[in-house]
Amino acid sequence: MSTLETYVYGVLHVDTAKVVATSGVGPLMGPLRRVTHGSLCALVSDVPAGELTATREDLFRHTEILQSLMHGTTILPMRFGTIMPDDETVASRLLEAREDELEQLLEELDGRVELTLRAVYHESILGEVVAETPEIAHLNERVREQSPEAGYYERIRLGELVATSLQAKRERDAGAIIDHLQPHAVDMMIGAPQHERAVLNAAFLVDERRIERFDAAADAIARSQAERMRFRYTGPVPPFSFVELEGSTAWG
Amino acid sequence: MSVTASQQRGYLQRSPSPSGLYDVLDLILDKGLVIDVYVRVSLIGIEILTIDARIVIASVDTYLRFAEAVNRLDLTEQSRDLPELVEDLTSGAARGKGRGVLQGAKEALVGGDDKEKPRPARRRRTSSDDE
Repeated sequence: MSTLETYVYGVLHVDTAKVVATSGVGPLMGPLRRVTHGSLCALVSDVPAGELTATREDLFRHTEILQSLMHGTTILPMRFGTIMPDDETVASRLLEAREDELEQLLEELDGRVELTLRAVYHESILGEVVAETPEIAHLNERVREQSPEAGYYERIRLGELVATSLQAKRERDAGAIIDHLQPHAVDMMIGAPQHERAVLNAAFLVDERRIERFDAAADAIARSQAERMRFRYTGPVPPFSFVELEGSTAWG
Repeated sequence: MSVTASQQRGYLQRSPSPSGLYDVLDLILDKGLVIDVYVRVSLIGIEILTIDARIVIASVDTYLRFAEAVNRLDLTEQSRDLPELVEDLTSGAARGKGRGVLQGAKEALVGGDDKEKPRPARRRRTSSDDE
């Protein structure tokens, strides 16, 4: 067993693979190399054999390396932390064994990027919730008159009602945002919420030529909702959310 | 909150790349190509942190925070924002980089008990992305 193993960043076509003089993840920060099979190649670097503990830098490094390569190239990003025993295994178990699927994904994702949009309600949304739901307004008054100890369970009940009401609001608002943006996207994935006042956390697969239109649509909805939510927009990043292989659902 | 590369243009806060630990985790932790059994970098507390941050919306802590927030709604006219739960946590994690800090964050969040792992909704229009 070797003392080094091979960390894999992504898969791309050999003819589009640029030379990148940069160091990789892990304690060795080994230089980036290519492992080739046919027309495909994997971008890799050496890491020490055995369990590797990720650092914050490693997480950013993995992302930065893929982002720096994506311009003018279609790259299939590997999940963070993919380590194979050696280069031969990368060539045989990844590039050769999954060649057809990888080729198909590369074709499908050609000229497409991932854009992430997150919307979070301002705290003032709670005013809307109270105003719309008499039960919440009433309970709110009651709780306010009690000491925190005496009103503990009513407080929880109140918070739960607020959370439920917010959830209904979130579904309506998220639906409206999605309807507005979907015409400009090829595909979409809804992610887990990142915040207790989250409205939407979504990744969109967008044709590079349509980024401007998607941008304009996102801007328009952010403007129209500025009083109620704030929006964060990240990208373009490689299509992390749209590269599941067979047996999964991304292209089912 | 590290927003080095982000800019406010119009009404969107834009970042060309993920601008914080949570953003990066959200992007690369359970996404990307997976081949067989080869994903095996140890994330120690980092993974636990993200999962718990996802759970917390349906927790008693959240309910109490919501209750407190609606309680003081009319009393204070200016809207002071609730602490940004996730961002607070992740900036703490960013400073710590070790297991201790992250584990501590987990215990602070859920009292250390294990809850069922929620999966992000995977397909378009499965809109209820949390409970």
